[in-house]
Amino acid sequence: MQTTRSEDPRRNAMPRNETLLLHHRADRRQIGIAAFYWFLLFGMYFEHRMRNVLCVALAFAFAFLNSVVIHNHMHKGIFKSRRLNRFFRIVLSFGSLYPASANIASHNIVHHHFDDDGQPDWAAPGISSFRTPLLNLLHFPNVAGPNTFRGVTRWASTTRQADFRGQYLAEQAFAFGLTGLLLPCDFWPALFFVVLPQLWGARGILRINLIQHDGCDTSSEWNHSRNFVGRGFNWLMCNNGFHTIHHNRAALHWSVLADVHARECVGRVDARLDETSMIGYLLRVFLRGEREAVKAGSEVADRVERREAAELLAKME
Amino acid sequence: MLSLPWMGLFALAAFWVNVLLIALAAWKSVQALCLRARELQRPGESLVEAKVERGEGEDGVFARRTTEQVGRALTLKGPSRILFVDAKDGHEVFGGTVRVNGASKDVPVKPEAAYWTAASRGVRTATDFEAAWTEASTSRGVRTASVDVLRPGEDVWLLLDAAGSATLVATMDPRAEITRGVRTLGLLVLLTFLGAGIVTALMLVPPVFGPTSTRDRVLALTFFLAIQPIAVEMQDRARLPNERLIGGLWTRP
Repeated sequence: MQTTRSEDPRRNAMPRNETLLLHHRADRRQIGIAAFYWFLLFGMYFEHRMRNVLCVALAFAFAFLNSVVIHNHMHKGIFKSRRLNRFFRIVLSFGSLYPASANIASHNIVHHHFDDDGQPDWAAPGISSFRTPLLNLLHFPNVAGPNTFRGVTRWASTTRQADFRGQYLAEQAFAFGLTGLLLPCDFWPALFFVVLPQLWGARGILRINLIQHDGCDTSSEWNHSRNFVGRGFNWLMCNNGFHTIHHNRAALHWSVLADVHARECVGRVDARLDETSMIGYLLRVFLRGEREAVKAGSEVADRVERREAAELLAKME
Repeated sequence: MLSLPWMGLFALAAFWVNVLLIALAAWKSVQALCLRARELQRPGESLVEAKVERGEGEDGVFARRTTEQVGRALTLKGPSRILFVDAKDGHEVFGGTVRVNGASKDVPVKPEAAYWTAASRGVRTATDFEAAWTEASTSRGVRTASVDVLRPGEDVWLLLDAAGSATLVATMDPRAEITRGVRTLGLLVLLTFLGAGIVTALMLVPPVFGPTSTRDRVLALTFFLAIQPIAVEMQDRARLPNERLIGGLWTRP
């Protein structure tokens, strides 16, 4: 007997924001981003008519969004199936030419703790120290990239996550293997229409560390990050503009960040750290050089204590 | 449609922007080292080589560098090892008495006096491997410190101001350290431009962005991917001794 969608008991038992495969319906946007990005890369590689300014510009934009998806997926796997989550990591790794699992150490552990435990963030804004802000923006990935890979390699040698190294290796093999396969087949198109966007995406997600934390007080509870609160921007960026609340409550799904930011951050975060437009901010700070530091006094001890208490509570639960 | 030569020029431009930035960052570090070298030769200041006779610190210590470290057990195959990374780093310079040219001399220190010492001199405060291993096998890791102490009987280089107070205490010749750093960074600048020049020449051999040999492609890609970690590594090696990371690996005895 055939059942209709509404009669399917599995679907009826699901909360409204879930789907059969996804924890959150909103994550279809992230899958769409990754799929469209692959379409652009392979389209430009195989189809000469797609090698135009529009497709290249879109590929660069979606390369960055692919890294944003990596970021979100590594915080909270989008699929209910563990295998699908791991497979999706591999797919995403190709898009940015770095293993997605590197984010566990570099972002989830090290970056989210800033330097509270005395160990420096591998992508702290100060690692590039030109007087001209634009040079720092351009040069930042040249330092943050190697720092991150060195750190992740070190972390990987001590991790107790039994399956980390296997997954990390699989992601590297696929990302570098597929890219390495495309290069000898048709070198220049592969370099220009695949590798360049990949590198732009990988370097872009490193640069965002500078954009979101430069001039902020990383020892502060609320003023450690810069937020970009434009609605259109956040729709495209899967709410990655709301960075303060993401740092403070990393387990929240990205789809609720706008609401929680409005509820918890507005009024607590220095108003100068809520920027409407990232493009406006980039032009103002990195082209016109109007950099401003926001310092709010040291609250490190409080935050460390709060974090330890939260970890203890989580263990007890 | 975007032709390959246009995309090639775009890629080469992006490549050169990064090459120039890497070289510029190295040059900036050279300038900082040269500034430090000039500080060693300021009128009224003198760099002297001496031997510590007595320190004002506890147990006659002349200076001390303490680097907090976090150690984690390696989960790789092989012998049990703990890998250390540096956390907070600090130093205290107490001053005391030194022997210079056969005569004893009391040396007070400026509050901002720096202590330059070789990373290899540090001694870890944790001494029991088994106890450290147990802690290092947890997610928090083992907390320890690497402590370097300058004691009586050891050689020291002192930068003294006009009043005879030390502004720098070093266990090695500071000028040699600066020279070594400048040479390393100079080599980096040279390597960067040389490599980038060769890659550019290879890519522009007619037909421009046409068929190239596998050797040229591998060379160009390897240089592009390798120059960034090489630059970071060489910048780290050129750091002044008090900024250099200690790290370390402790193997089960």
